[in-house]
Amino acid sequence: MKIFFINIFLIFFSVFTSVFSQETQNSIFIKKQNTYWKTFLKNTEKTYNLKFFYNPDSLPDINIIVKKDSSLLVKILKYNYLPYDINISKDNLGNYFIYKNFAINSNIDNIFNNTILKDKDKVQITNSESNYLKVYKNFISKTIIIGTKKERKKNDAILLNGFVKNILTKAPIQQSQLKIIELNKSISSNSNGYYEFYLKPGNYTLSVQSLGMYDENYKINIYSKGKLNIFLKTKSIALDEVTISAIRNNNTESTKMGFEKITAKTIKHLPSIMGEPDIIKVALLLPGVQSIGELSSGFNVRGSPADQNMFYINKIPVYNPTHIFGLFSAFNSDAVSDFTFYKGNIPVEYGGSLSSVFDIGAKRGNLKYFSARGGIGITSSRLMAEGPIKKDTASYLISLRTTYSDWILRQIKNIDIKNSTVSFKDALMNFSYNINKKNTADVFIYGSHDFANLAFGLKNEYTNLGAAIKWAHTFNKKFNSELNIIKSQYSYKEENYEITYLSNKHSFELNHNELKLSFKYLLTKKNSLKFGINSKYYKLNFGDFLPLSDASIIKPIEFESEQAINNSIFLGNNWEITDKLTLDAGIRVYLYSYLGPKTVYTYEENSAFEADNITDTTRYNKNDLIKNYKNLDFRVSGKYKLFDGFSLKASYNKLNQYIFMMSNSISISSTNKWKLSDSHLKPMKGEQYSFGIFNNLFYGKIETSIEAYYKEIENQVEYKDGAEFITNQIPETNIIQGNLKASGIELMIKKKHGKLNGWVNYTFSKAKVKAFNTLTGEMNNRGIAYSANYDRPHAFNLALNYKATKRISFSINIVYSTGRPITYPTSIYYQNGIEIIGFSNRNQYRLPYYFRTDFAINIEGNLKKYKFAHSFWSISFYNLTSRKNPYSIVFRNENGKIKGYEIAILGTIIPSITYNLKLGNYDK
Amino acid sequence: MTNRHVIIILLFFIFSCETEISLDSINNEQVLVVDGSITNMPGIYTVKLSLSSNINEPLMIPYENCKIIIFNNTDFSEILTETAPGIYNTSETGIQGEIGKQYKITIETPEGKKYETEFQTMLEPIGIDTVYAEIIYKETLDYPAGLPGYKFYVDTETAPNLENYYMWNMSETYEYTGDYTLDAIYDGNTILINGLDTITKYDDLFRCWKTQNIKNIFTGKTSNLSVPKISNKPLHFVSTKTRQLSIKYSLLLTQNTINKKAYKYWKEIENQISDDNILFATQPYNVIGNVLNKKNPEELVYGYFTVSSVSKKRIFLERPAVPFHYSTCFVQTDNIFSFPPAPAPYYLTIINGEYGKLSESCFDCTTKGGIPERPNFW
Repeated sequence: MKIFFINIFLIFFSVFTSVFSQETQNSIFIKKQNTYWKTFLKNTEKTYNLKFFYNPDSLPDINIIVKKDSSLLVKILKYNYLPYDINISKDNLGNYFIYKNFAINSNIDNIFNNTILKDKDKVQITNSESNYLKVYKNFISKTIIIGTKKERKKNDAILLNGFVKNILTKAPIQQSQLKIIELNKSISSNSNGYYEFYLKPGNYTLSVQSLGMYDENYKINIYSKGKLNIFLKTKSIALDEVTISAIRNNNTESTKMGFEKITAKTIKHLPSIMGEPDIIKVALLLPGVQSIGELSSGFNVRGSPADQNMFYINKIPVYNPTHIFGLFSAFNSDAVSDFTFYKGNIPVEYGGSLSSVFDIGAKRGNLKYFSARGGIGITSSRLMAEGPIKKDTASYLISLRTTYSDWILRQIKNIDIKNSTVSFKDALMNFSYNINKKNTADVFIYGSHDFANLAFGLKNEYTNLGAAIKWAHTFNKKFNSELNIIKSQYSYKEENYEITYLSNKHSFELNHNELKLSFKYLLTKKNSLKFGINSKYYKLNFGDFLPLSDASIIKPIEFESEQAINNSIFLGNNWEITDKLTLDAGIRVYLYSYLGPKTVYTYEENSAFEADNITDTTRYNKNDLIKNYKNLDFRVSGKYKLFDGFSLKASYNKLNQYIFMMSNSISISSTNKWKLSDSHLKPMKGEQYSFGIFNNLFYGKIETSIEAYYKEIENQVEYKDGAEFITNQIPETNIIQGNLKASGIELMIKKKHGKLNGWVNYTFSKAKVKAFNTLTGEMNNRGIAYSANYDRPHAFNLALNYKATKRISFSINIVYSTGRPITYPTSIYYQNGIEIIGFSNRNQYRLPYYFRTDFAINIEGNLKKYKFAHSFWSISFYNLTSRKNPYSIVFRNENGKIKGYEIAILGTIIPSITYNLKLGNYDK
Repeated sequence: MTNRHVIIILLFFIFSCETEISLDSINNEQVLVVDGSITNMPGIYTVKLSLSSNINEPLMIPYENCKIIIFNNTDFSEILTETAPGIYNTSETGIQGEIGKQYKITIETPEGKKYETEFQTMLEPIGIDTVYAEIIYKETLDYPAGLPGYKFYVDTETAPNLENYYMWNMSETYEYTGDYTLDAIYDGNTILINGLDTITKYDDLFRCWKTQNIKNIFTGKTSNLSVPKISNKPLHFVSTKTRQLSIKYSLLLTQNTINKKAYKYWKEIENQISDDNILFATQPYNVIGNVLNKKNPEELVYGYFTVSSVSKKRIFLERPAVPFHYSTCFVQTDNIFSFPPAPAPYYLTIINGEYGKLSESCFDCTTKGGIPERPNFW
């Protein structure tokens, strides 16, 4: 892609008159077609050796329509662009200017070329060259003399040869296009970057182009045989453009619904808490995603509890994706290339989470050269380094992040806080090896660790560890495979030493080992198959509840570990039946086996799972089968395109989930244990119906969508009132399996490109839980359905980024949502002379609404192409209006009177500044 | 284990703040509240019936004219008599709690609604080994160096069975005096001097004893301990912020041996009333007791009819040698007769040989709720 901003600026600044170009001598005719504009311009440039100049941000995303064969190029462009107030100019050298609101007099006798060229000796400039020079400014300083006048032999063909190389890495560049403009003679460099021309002596213009490189133009004066090595510079913004084209029209062309893909750039530019760019916080700006508040790890998607989401980083499941009890996410944004988020139709290759999949892609290391970047913030620093192990073949990437937030705690008057320590770190490593054209291998390692020692007597640490090996093999163009071997572990340890004689410790460890072999096979161009096998082995160690010291009188409580194997096979098919209709369907068949060793209790028939009702105890030995569940995931989705840029989509998902989190508190805390489905606790089953209208306006510049969903979850795990997990050896006695019903409508408007980009969305939703086991009579809230804790009927999010200049950009987030439901104290009564609070029905009341505005300024360092390092500052203001958004309400008994206090966390403006540094120049 | 999440959240008070909110908009539905017990102590046993009150106006609303019958599982039942609004008593010669027997009550309201509890067994009482107190310094925001006071602890006797459940409640008695003595009264015309003139009735109001129930409940169980004996169980804390410890203090501890269901109820009540823990990170809920409307089991009824066996122990503590932090009353020494203009009488005390003017609460201990009579156990 040939985007010369400098040139464009040059043209825009120098030319202001509005004269339309005249018809020129060499007319170009184009065949009948209907092609995406970028493709059209690119093809035309290639085929006819001409050049288009435009600012891609100012052009609409349209298809260029050519109605008849042999249409004149200028006419075609005018026909297609004039309706948008876009003009076309052309000079007689084959340069086409496509521009908005300006007109360029391409025939103007260029003032500044002449003046600059005054100094140039002996270069004869033809009229056409003079016009050419206007745009190829860097050309001027590069007149190269090949050979010597002495050896000059008139009319003989002289060999000019050399290599085309990358200026930084000195790697040869193959397939670069070299062209002698005057002769209209083109060749391309071979695999070693070698090229040769046979030319007669004289003045020529040599233009060199290569994909992903800046074009170079040389004025050469050739006398005799000579060598010319050409060095091209890497195009700094190449990656952005690739991103754009990859996701173009996804909105209306694919069957994907309830799907978002966010790139690292978006994450980097949005405002953040304490200068930590955070992918989870970005996800919270998407429609259908809610959280309890600032201090809750994870989030709630379309009315589901947080444990029905699954986080993956390069296929490694991460069971606690947060740092500091939910304040930050556990992924260093430097090492993240993008994340994909599925909340509606979850693709068949993901199994085991009912609500959403959050798939984070970590970067692969640079295969060419070493690069590093980092950031220094108020509470944490991060560093990332990458580079080749073996050039073009193998690379590494290492990223580290750590905190030093204790100094903030020291500033607090509260003794408990002052003497506390809180810290986190995370790291990831990615080794990539391109074995050959058909095989690539990756080894990826991830870890995060949190530590807190709270002065009132609690020490807590938790860790995520994961490793994944990926081997991708291409059999042929139609058939490829991927093998993944994955290991993930989440663990925590907690020591409670507040009261010496009761001091205790407990721990938890979840091991997830996974093997996944998947294949993709293209039956036809429009019909593809996905299939594979997936085997997961879970082992959960519940740790023992032990006295912390000899002084403690706590009786040790032993917990049995548990294990299960979940084998599944899956098959998916995507079939573009017609241009308009595409269907996608998939099934996954599970055989889930819950295995011993384990003690399993039998309860009286139709009575609650309570210790009192145990009638029998069965002891299973190691690997004895305790319970099998055979279940089927089924999903189908379809797209019907009514016309270009307007599609209707529908989908249905029926999914199963075999692991859930035991949590009694409103937010997720690090001491929540996970639990496998067993003979008493059935797998959760979810069904979701969704329907959507997707419309791209202004020729794809603006994407709009409306999605509606209805979701029902069976066997939803709810906790009995007052449930206590830490010392309860029999988890089923804490749980009632109820059901959850959620529905909603999500409206989204999104502008992906341009100076001003971002999105705005509104969601109306509802989520109700009913926990009432009619067989046993167990119930919460006396059997009455209640709003889920995270149910926020109205939610509005705005996230905008405005690129004021090439170096300064501004971002703003505006978040509004209905307050979350809360149970209020409604009455007072007396027991034993003590005032006791009576409560409303569960979640009958609501907190006040939530509103927050964040603002960020990103200032990039200079944009020189060659420099040792590039830096940028990001200045962020979290909660600009200092609104005290209530996280919760606490009620206290003060002198016999109940008083309610809204607790606002982060209820004030939080400014932060982060300095980011990267070796090399600016890129994405 | 209480939920520590609460305090973890405290950490984020770095950036957090609290704002008081109005609770006026809350509607309250009046709910029947049962509060009664039968123990192994001889007695009159009481069941109180009331209706829950609006949260803004905490009030015991007596529920009158109900019919309560208490039953044992063998041979006896008795109708309770309403001796005061909402207070229903057994007779002195009526039912007596006996260890090993089961008890229940039924309630019928004037509207004809019927409620009842299940039979519960009265268990063998487990004794109190010791009750003791230690001086501790409680660090708070206002007292970063620590607010001194007595923290009470209990050790139970070793129980014969492994699983035992306890609920403790306490009553305290303390001796205190006025801050100043009344030396004279100016009645508008003359100064009546104590000792010379007859204002001696105030002499009796200088020293008081106050007895009150401690508005806190503590629970414990031995089922998670290797030996069925609870040691060093922390109970109530009395600070030096009040004058409770200023002269002499006594704590009467009642240890109720209860069954597991009752323990669960009182444990939940304990969680609910213990300081900051109300309604923070865990889902708050109504603590449901053992009184049920059999016809309409969904009806919310608060309260518990407890069957327990009790052990009691009293300890005495003298004034500790620590700094006290309660405020004493203000004495005006300048222009006492002219400013501020106020009607007589003026109460006077002698400070450094001069009269100082003070209010009644400075010398009349009954204004602080006590009675000027020494209790018989003192």
